[in-house]
Amino acid sequence: MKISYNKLKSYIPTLPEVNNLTQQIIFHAFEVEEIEKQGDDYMLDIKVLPDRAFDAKTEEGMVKEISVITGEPCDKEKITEALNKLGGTEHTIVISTDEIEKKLGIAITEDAIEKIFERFWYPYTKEGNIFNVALPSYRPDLIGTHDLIDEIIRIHGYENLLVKKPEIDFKIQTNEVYAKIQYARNKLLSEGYNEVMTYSFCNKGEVSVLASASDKNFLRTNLSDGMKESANLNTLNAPILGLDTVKIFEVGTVFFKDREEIRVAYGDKKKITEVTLDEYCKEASPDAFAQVLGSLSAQPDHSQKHTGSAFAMWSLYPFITRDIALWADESVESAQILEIIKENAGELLARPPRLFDTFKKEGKVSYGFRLVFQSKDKTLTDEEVSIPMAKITEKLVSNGFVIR
Amino acid sequence: MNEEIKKGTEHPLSMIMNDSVKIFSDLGFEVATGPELESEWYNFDALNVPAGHPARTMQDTFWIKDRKGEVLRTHMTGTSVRSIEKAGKEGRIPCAFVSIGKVFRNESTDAGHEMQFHQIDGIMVGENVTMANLKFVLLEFFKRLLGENVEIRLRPSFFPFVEPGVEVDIKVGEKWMEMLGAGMIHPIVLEHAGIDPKKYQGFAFGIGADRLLVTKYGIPDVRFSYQGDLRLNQF
Repeated sequence: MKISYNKLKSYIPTLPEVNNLTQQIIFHAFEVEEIEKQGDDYMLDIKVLPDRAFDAKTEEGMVKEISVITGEPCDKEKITEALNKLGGTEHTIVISTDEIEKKLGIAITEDAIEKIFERFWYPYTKEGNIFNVALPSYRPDLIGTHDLIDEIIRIHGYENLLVKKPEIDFKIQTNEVYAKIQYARNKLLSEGYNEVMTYSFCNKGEVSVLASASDKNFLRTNLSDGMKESANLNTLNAPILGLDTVKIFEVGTVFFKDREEIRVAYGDKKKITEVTLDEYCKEASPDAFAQVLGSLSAQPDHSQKHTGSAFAMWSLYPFITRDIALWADESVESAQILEIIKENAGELLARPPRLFDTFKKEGKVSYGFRLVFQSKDKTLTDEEVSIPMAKITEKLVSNGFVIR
Repeated sequence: MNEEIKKGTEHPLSMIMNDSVKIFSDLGFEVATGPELESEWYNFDALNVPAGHPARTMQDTFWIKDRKGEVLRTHMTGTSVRSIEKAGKEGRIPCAFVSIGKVFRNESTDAGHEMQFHQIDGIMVGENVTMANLKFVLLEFFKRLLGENVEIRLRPSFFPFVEPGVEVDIKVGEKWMEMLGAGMIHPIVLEHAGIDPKKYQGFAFGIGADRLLVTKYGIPDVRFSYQGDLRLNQF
């Protein structure tokens, strides 16, 4: 709901300044979606939570809420009178400090709890550490102790909720489906297959959805169709990916009239093989499985290694490939040549040159490198690529290598 | 030719989900899996989502044609509830589960939205599982996934299946980001799972794996994940 800062201030004379107020609303009640400056006033757009639609969407309800969370007073009688007109029935909740501590995991003193109830204008009686709290008719959302605990902790402040390790000795069982998926993934990765994910939606199938924001209303009955598209796309990009043949795999769910099924599909542009996960894992040795399960409890190996590694957006323009091959003395390492190429290739080189061919003959060695050029902001011409290629060739020749 | 086979590249979503499983396993969580085509009961009713709730409309949820009461799951919490229900029947409480998988929402797609995405959902139930425990588990998870200096903060929020409910922000570097919803499991949800809410309590949370991917690697478009494009496998 939208409410003006000056309006709120007419109810709550000691209202904090607008930024401070916004912070208090966000951390104790609702999200503030927008603060719009309007002359000497501010319009606050407050996202009232769905369970508070009854009271907090009214002007008086919002005034009371803000008075509660800031602890700044307003005209209690006038506000209460307006809110009571909303309807509903008065009710009580019985809650003990033990219950509050048991759920939150932190102790809040009786004194602090009493102060919170007083801020809410909830009358209460107290016997030992048990409170009998009278809730007003305009708060039908407060039904059980869990609702009251929510009221207490948000006013007490989530920043005061300590961090405590659960002291429980869990008896963990193995999830067979997950273990099988990991087994299949690891096996395929080790065989040089690259992992892809494709869409569950398609144009034909046995199960369809009632309405869809897209034109694809059916759920897939196979992974192969999506995999074929993926294989074609990636084969076109093979040079930029640095691959000779593009081998891909997906583990995913397919849908039939009477069941859903997890499948494993793998292959290349020529052929995709698709089997059920169970079928794929049929021949797995107990050892291979134990290994997968053992690795589940190991610490992640990517987490530390990749901290800070950032995604590099690919170019939307076509790439051009060039091969260069040369003769060198047998003692020359390919890395030496690679260095010269990289140093002279310029900014248009899209990825490290790939050594695709090596052979030795009569004390000489031939190296063949594939270079991929691509610009981030335009389609390259042959001329633009010939400039770095000429520079590379010149450098290699001046270093005594013979271009083939 | 005896050439060594180069290991294939992994999809970054798989990497982040498998890392998450490892971290949660170490924190005592057991992996749970469940159907992608879910019943209305586990997706909505069991979770205390009322009949007229906007999330249940066709504009948000994929309902299955000619199969009344079936939906494509819109979150992993249904799987979480299935898991604690089963554990309760087997007398295995206290228990904790991490459910990771594909979920669906019927919405138009853009760089920040996709009709299919992945969620990492956690649930822990016991006699004394507290909200302070929830805060520990989440802080520990993000520290191990994104680095020691990650901070978290909780803000009041509302989801029908938890009370108290919170929105959790995390801070990586200088910036706070809204990351997930969480809270203490609503007594009605425990009851629906056949667990006595007077004896047991617990917490639940749901993290968007795709959003985590954006945070961790800075991938600018969530749709890249499902295009079968190997240029994404950079890590």
